[in-house]
Amino acid sequence: MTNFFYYGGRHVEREILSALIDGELSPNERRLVHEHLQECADCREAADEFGHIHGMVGDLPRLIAPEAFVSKALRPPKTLSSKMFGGKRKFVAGGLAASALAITVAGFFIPQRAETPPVSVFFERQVSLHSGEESGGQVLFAVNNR
Amino acid sequence: MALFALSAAIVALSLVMPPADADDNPVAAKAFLTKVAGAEGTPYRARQLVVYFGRPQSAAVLDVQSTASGEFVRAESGSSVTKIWRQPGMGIVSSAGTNLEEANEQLVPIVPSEIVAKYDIEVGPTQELLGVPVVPLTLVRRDDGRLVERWLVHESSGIVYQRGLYNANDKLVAMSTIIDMQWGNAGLAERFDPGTGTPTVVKSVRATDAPKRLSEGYRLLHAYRLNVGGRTAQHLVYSDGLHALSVFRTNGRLRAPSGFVATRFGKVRGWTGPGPGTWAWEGGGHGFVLVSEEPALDPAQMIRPFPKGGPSALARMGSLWSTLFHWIAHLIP
Repeated sequence: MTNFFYYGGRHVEREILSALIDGELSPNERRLVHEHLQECADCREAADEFGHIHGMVGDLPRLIAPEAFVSKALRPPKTLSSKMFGGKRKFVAGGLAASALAITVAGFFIPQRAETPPVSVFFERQVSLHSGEESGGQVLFAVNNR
Repeated sequence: MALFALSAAIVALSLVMPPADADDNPVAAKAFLTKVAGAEGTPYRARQLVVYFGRPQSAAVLDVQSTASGEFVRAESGSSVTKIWRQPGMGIVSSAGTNLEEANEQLVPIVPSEIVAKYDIEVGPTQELLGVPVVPLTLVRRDDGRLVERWLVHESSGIVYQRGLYNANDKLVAMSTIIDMQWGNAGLAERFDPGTGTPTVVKSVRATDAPKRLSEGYRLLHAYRLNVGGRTAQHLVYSDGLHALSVFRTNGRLRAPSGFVATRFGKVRGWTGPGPGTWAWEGGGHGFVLVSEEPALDPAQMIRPFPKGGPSALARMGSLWSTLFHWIAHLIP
């Protein structure tokens, strides 16, 4: 099947045939198209096909889309951020962010755990660094730490 | 009390000794220092009194036994007993509650060339102590003319019979003196005993971030990692050729140990501990404890190469997050 039609020496265009079947042409336009169809077998065949399709569409039952589907279809598309933080998720994300911030800020103010170093072991290490009577001066550390 | 009376008498005796005609011949000084350095392994058994005149005052009596194959030192101070064993390839320091055992122990050597480079040493005329000839050596720090130590060295063996340590005000702060000496090899009085407690594990490590040199001619000799009851500490050993200086680094914040008094080292907040030179401070998220044998040191100068001040804001936040993750990780089966 050809894709375009003339009239007035050429095939009739597809849009005009569609308009003819839908009853959207003026009487004068309708007359011109009919005159062409009488002379052009290709255009007649195309007009018959259009009419057949039009009839099939017209026979289909009318369906009413659910309102939710329509409102969803009409809603503007979601961005990535709206997908991630939309709805209840934004409260969860906000809570996590607030917790992270609170922990970070708390790091400034919460006193860090301090430990007492094992100085007795340290003094023993120092004592062990000299030998013989030279250990004497070092032992001061050990006995002082008792 | 009796110990202090005895020590006071010894100090008085040493103070009333006639002034010697000093000889600051560095060759003679180096010869004596070499003799002192080579005295290790001389067989003898001596009782030694060690006194610290600072606050709190303390004293200990040592039973020192030296043989060619090892040595044993038993130090008693009141009810406290500290024992040191040393033999080739192994060293043990044991006292109440702690037990430190180390393979391939490395002692801080006496290096005569470094000592004469740092100190002016006066060698006095021979005198007598406990019936033996001893030579007085006076060590004065060359850069500031400060008296640091006075020794009485046994003339033939190089054993230091008496040693007095002076603080930054030229005041005698500590003294060790031999009060009884028996020459010869009598064998160790107590057998080598590692004790029953969990030993502190000591391992040699490379301390690439440690200062290589400190003020007053101290240089880094060794670095160790100590494992004390599941906690680790780094031990940096410095020496000026004569004295040992230890810097211990622990992780996290430092709580002042018992007996440490809050003070300031210049602008740095820290603590002074008991003994001739013990200082603690915080820096870079670590706690530091410096133990020095030489009392006449300026702590602000000595701690200068180390990090100082509390942990940074970033370190504090990192620590808190680390603690949190650690805690959460424990909750996950």
